Amino acid sequence: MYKANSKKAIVLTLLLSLLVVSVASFAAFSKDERLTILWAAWDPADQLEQMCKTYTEKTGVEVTVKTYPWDKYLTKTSVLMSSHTTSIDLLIADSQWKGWLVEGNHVVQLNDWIEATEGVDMDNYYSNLVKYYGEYPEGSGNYYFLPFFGDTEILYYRKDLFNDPELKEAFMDEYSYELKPPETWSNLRDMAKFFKDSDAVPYGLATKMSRRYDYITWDFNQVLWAFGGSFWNPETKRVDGYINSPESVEALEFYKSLAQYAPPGIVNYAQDEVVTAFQQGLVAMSIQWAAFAQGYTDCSVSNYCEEVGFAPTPKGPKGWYPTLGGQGIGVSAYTPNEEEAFKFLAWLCSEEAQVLWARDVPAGVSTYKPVMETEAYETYQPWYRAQKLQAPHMRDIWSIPEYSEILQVTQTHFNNVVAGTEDAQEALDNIAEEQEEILRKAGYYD
Amino acid sequence: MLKIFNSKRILTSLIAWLLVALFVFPLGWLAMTSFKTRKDILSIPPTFTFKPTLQNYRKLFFKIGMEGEITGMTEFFRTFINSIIITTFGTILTVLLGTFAAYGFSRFHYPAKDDLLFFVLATRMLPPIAVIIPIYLMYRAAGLLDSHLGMIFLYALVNFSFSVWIMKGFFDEIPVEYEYAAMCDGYTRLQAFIKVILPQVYNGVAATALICAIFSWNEFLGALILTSDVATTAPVALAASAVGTIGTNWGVIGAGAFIFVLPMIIFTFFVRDYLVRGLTFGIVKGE
Amino acid sequence: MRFLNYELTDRQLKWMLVLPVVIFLFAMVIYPLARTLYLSFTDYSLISGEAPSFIGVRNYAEIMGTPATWHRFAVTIQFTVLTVVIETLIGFGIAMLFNHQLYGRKIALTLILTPMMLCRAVIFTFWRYMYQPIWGIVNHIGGFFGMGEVAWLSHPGTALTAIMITEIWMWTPFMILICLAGLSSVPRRLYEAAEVDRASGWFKFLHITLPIAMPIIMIGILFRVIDALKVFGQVWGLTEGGPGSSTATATLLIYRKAFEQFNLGKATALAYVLLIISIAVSNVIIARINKMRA
Repeated sequence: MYKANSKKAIVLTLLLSLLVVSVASFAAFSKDERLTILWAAWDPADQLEQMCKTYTEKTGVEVTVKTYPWDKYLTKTSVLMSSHTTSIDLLIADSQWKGWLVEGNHVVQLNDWIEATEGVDMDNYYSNLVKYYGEYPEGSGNYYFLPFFGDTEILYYRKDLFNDPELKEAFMDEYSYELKPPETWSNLRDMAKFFKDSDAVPYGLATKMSRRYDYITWDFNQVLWAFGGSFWNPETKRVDGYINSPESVEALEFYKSLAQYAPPGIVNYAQDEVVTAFQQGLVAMSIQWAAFAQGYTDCSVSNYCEEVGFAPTPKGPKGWYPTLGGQGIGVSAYTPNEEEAFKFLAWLCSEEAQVLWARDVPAGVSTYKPVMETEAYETYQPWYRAQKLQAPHMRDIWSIPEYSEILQVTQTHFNNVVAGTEDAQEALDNIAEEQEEILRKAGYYD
Repeated sequence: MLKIFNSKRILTSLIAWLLVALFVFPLGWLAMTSFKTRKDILSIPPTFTFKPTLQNYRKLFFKIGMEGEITGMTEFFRTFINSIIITTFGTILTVLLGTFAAYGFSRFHYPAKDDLLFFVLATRMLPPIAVIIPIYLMYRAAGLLDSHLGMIFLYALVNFSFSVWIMKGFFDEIPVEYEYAAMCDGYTRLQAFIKVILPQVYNGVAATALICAIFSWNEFLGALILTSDVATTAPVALAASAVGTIGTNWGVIGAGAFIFVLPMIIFTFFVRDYLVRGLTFGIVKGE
Repeated sequence: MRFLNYELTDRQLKWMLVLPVVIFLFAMVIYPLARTLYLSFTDYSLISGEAPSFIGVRNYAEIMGTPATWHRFAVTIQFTVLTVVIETLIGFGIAMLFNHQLYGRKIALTLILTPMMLCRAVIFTFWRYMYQPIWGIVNHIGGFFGMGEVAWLSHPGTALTAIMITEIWMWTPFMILICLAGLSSVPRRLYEAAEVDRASGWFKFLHITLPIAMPIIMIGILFRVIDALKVFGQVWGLTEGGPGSSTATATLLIYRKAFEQFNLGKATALAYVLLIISIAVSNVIIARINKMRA
């Protein structure tokens, strides 16, 4: 009898605790005066949430940034938006997502609101950023997102190595020009080789050649464009003759040749490996997103925090097109608080908020011209100078709904080339064939 | 005789513990990583000696502001509690109902029994990715989205296949004569099942409970898609803490994974007696 | 326990035992199964907001006709066969070992089961860190044994091996548990009876241990095969199918089709092809189990 009683008691307690926790959790999450922004889980999201406390102090509206793991961010967002969730008011989305978000009517068109709202003006952003982050289709004048997180890849380098008199002399002897942050890609290669051969540092360069996510394509695209290559014709959507043009082949072969001056395992390098390689003193240079600058300069994680130099990425024989990362911010079509969401967005676009974003948020990367063109801007963080120089020249690709499938093709084949299992011309021809097949099936060639 | 017995025991123990070391090493490395600073975690070459720090645990449990101050708690603790609740109830449900069903399948005849059993098995065969969207829609209609009950049901769904099949395997090993003997002694069928047969399969029950618990505990995709706030489990919170602007937060991953595995280890420790049949196994009544 | 005294007929009892599970599974599973089957014959896109439109067997035809897809299945099957065989052999060996008297046997057992307890969401990322050629611990320890610096995840051959090693590390404990449970289900009296007949250790093993433990071990193998065919997390965390697409498995393809290309029609069709393969393989194993029982 005792046994039966105590068993009943245990079962009852368990059931009760289940009930309590469910109700408590539910209560904690009921929505009233609160806005929710959707973003991926990383430091900029946490810092944005903190920055928005200023807005809460002003208006009393609480702003939460709801985050999901980066590598599943697309998955979760697609499920949320396709189920017309009312739990999200604003979303911060990759520029590639414009295609499916707009064509599925998941975001609100901003044109009317922009016109009606004082202080919100597309002229406050560089025109290329407006086009790539906000406009869909590009060139149509229809705006669905505001540029927000203007991440671009910059060149990080070891100041101590580049300023070392002995190294400078040796480099001058061998190459007959000055050792300083490389201005062209072939300069970069020379220096990568030089550093690798020297005893000063194990390897020359670290960059993202991984097949995962979008790493290698986004890392290579700036090289492709610098050599005069291209991915496709954005109007006709034809790929053959563009991705496999002689310039493109040259670019890819050049890019592959960089791998020999990089640490072993470069074929798999993504954000963490590139940052780590610099932190641990393995490389003299790295090409990496501006958002990760703290990984280089934070002395608690970087052994060379004092020696980090920042420069714009090199130019090529046919141009300079820094790569475009980051995200724009838009309003969900299913939000129950559209008015509040727009009020918040207006605040976010104000100079007050943008100064906060640029100056006080270490992981923030600005897109806002009025702030970026002040003299004070370059003093906020040491990498802003390079980022600002690049901003008006950033270039993006593929914001059509089929971008993910197309991306997988280039990821696979580019990675094959640097891994040595495919040769450049062959890989690019394959890409052209496979991508055109995808685009044909999607109906772009009719 | 005693001497040979001892040296054999020493030898087998040595080999066994060597194998244990091999399998446990990654966990040990994980634990070590959780107490290292990033510089030590990524040191070249990797290091076994370092100055331990609690900063990773701090970052795991607390949100750190831009000036390094603590601004609140992360989701980890709350989702950890969710995991405990969902796994506990899910496992109890799965083991209880699964064992009963397994006994039924083992002892009785049902129309289309083999097909029924195969259907139970087949519920495990579809990759979750393919079915998660319809399940999402189903849950949304039923109001089960983002609820503890919904997650419990989901885990029961996948675990039933295992609990039914494994327990049936165990029941099949026991000859029917045992029940008849017990029933001759005056027990009803049900009493014979619970008092005579069930105690003999405690190995199976322990193994099943452990495996079902582990599966529910670590499940990720279902938790990611089907929950957003209320019923989120720790694996989702842990995965969300991975990416940082200083690189991947290896230390926080290590800390989180280490803390998260402890309840499972504790559970295993509690059932350890039931995982291996004692070497002095008693004889069943009625022999 | 009062309810034990109720006089239940066998008929009542048998349905009461089984119905909860069967009804639950039907209710939970019938809609998803039916819907995914239907979707596999459409060109449904999750995010387009349009209703699915029927396109017949086109998805299946495309799957059959694409060599790249067959490559994924080949990798999946190769992965499954190799890992399950090795897990079973090692698992059984270790279980035999643990069936003896050992110092600290229960603690050792608890510890050796830990690999499968670790959180899958992050442990594969952690393994990627361990496999890193320069700061990873695998190469460091391998160096002590004379192994050179291997860029595990950078070459097609070694990448698949690395994934398999991680899989084997994680799931051998499962087989250990199952094999132990199977070995423990052999009644002692059979051994004692054999000893009276002065049977050798080998004889006891072949004619007592194996026959009785095998059905349970086979069930373990069955579940390992079903789960290995669905392998996703390991591949996603370690290589995402790279280098190139040398380690891409079927489920990875399903994931990409479903959640990156939003083509649920193709994704569900692929899932059903995988299901058919699972069913075929399971039937073979189950037939074997039944033969053992006969």
